[in-house]
Amino acid sequence: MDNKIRHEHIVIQNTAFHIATSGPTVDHVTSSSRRKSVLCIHGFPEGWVGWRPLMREMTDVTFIAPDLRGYPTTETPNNGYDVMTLTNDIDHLISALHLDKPILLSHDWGGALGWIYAHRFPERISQLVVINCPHPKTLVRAVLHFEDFQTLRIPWVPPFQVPYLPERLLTTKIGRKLLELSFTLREGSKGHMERDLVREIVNRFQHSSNMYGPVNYYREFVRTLLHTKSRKQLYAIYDKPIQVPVTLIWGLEDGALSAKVAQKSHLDAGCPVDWRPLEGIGHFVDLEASDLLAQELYRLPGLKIKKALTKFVDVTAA
Amino acid sequence: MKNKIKKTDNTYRITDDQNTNGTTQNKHYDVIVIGSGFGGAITACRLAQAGRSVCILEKGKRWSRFDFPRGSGEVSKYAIANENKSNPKNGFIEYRTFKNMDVIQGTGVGGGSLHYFNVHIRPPAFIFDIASWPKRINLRQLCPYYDLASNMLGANKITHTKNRAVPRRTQVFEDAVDSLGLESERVPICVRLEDQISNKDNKQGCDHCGNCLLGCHVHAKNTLDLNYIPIAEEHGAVVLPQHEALNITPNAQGYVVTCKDHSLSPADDNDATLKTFHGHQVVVAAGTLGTNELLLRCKQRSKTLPRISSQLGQCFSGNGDFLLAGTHYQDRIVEPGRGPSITTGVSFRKNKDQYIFIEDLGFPDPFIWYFNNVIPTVGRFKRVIRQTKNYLGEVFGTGFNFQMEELLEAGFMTNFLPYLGMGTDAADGVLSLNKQGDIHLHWSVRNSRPMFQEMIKHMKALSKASGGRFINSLLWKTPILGIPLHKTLTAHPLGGCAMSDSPLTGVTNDCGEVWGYKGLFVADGALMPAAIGVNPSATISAVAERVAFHMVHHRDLRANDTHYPSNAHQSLQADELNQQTTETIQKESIS
Repeated sequence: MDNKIRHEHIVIQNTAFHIATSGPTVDHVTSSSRRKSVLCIHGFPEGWVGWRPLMREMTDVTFIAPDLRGYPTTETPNNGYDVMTLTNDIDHLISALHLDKPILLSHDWGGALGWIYAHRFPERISQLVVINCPHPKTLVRAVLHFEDFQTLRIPWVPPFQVPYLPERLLTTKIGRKLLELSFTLREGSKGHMERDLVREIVNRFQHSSNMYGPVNYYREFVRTLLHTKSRKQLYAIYDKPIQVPVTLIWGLEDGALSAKVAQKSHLDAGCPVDWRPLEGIGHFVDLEASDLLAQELYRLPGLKIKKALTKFVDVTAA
Repeated sequence: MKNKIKKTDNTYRITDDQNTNGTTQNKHYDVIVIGSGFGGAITACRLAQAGRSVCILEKGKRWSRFDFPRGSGEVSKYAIANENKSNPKNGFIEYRTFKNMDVIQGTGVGGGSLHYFNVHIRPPAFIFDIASWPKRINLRQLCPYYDLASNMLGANKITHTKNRAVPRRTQVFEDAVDSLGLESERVPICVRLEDQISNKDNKQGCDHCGNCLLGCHVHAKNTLDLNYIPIAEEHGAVVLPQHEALNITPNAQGYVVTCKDHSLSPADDNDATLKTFHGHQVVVAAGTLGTNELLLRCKQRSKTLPRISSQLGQCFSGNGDFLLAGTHYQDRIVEPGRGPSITTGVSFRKNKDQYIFIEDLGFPDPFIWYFNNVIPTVGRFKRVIRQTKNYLGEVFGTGFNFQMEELLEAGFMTNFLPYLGMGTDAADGVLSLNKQGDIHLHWSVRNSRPMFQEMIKHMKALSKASGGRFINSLLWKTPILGIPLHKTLTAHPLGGCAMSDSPLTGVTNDCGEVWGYKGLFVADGALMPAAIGVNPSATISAVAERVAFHMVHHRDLRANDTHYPSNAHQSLQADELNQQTTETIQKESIS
């Protein structure tokens, strides 16, 4: 078994997606160890690179980490940054990669997509694992009701509504430094974030076109909420309870998203949510504490080492 | 040094005297091979297998695996061969400095294989399309020879094994290449990666100590003194270590090689240490610098081989080597001293004829300890101040606060990823003899500068994409002020006795036979008419196999040849035969 990460491009809805895969190949998994593969949806503005520490930590699990629409190395179309298209992208990815009910692991913005995806297509995944992202409905309500100062915790959302300027400024030298600080300043007291990895992530954004897509996620989401028709459509989706097991892993020293708000997620998800807090870890759990995250993932029924069970299966097969 | 000129002149006369004397030193062989590196060991082995009587003259010592230096003091004493020190010719690494390029080469039974970084990689096919290569040599035609050599040397790519994970350095390099959007390739290395346990003997696999440069103490590295040379000896070849060839003189039966025996105490009279050997044929494979030095002396000083082409010493190439550059990471752990010294690489091609290959590189721990102490870092300065403060605090009674681990820092090299760059340089160096009769290299970066700049650009891109800081070679640019020096360090000297289609363009024909001297062959890196762009040991091995096969059969090796050379040890073969026979006997007795 080699831990080399494989890269490929897959065309979905006229957009070429970059996909990084690590661990045993998918066919191998289905035949012998029967472990679920994990589809990793990154947050803002990490890209697939954010999952690399985890890939190195768990070499025996297949991870599939795409760069979402608009991120560097994936194509940047002019439109399609609303949550509906983005969750459709995930759905097409699962079909195109022939994944058999993968575990959906998602973080930050990817977490929001994960929640919505689980509402829309519960039969396509075996489990939803969200890292540091409350249910989007809970989050929006908290922002509007000023719950636990949530409105003040995400001050970049209003400036991101300005067209053209944010992506232009964030891809200057100072802007990249600012992005770098947005990672490093939020490090938890017990976490260890590799500075070089942060710089690697930030250095991916060389031109303003690289940042256009990621910033557009925020614009399109606000637009979806403002337009009555699309908002109603989204809230109709929320009304259908999530029908897969949900685990919410939370780095407790997250300054951007309040843990108090997140703990109310189960009310909007319509299902029990397994709350897994991580002491002393900040917002970027995947970058800071891949070892703790790996421990949490090994608890999941789909990833547990089922030696006794496979033996049993072998016996019955014989 | 003037004595030396006289010495070489004397040599010639002495040989004549000795010829008439016919002493014990005066031995006749079918083939005399000068040098036991990739050229010499391979030709000697194949010729011995073909039934020729072979004598290998080697300047350096024979090294057992327990003799290799490990401590940092031993490294300076036993690794680097330096003629000026009190015990000359003690080490197996020679470091030669010239004006614009420094050269590292190996001496000792096994030659460059003792300290090389195990890489056995074939260059891309278009490298042989460069005009200076003879028309009869191309990659497809060399393939059987490459296969033969890689089979003997056990070349394979590093992977996860039962006992050892892939070294961190490999992962960091591959991640950097990933971030650049390119694909890295693991290079084949001649190392036994896993333990081989058989009923007869247990062979230990590579223990990832990273000391490839200093010789392998577990013999996991497949150096030539473990495969080609023992097989040659099984077939009757004689290896004479510490014999430095000084002159080659043609005579009616072939050639007379005069050499100096360094194993004897440096007695006052030269006669005792000088020996002569008669050979029907002579293969010169003394390493690129050694071969050129020997032939230039024969051509210009002693004038025993005056008809060698005037192209001798031209077309020298450092293979575009660019060492000592790398990326420094802030807190990503690289540990360059762990694992086989080169594991993976990435290639860049621009235009038709520019090819650049960049690899990860490891330095042995003794060097890393040394570097860690030399490089001043802010961290160390802070630590010293903090320790002093703590100490003073203790003295004045505010409590003992001394922490040992504070002093044991990770160091600069922990987070440093060194690169080895190679590329197709202009191959326009000229080797000549200086007034003292020693070899001198005239090389200027001018014609190769675009290639080097492109290479540095790629290295910088690798650093930036992976979030690190690029550190340039201190020979290319001074670390402080950035004054350009444009000096390079090469571990792959090539050329000087280029193969060619005609005597006007090179020194030897495509089979390595020197134009104008029948039975005098060259079989090492000196044959390469141009840079190879990747580590050249595989190509040198393949060319040496070809030279040997042509010497024996006067034709090319084919894929399913009936004369396919054997790579098996005779003793092992005999054992296998015995086993088979005993098995059949047992079977028969049972039935």
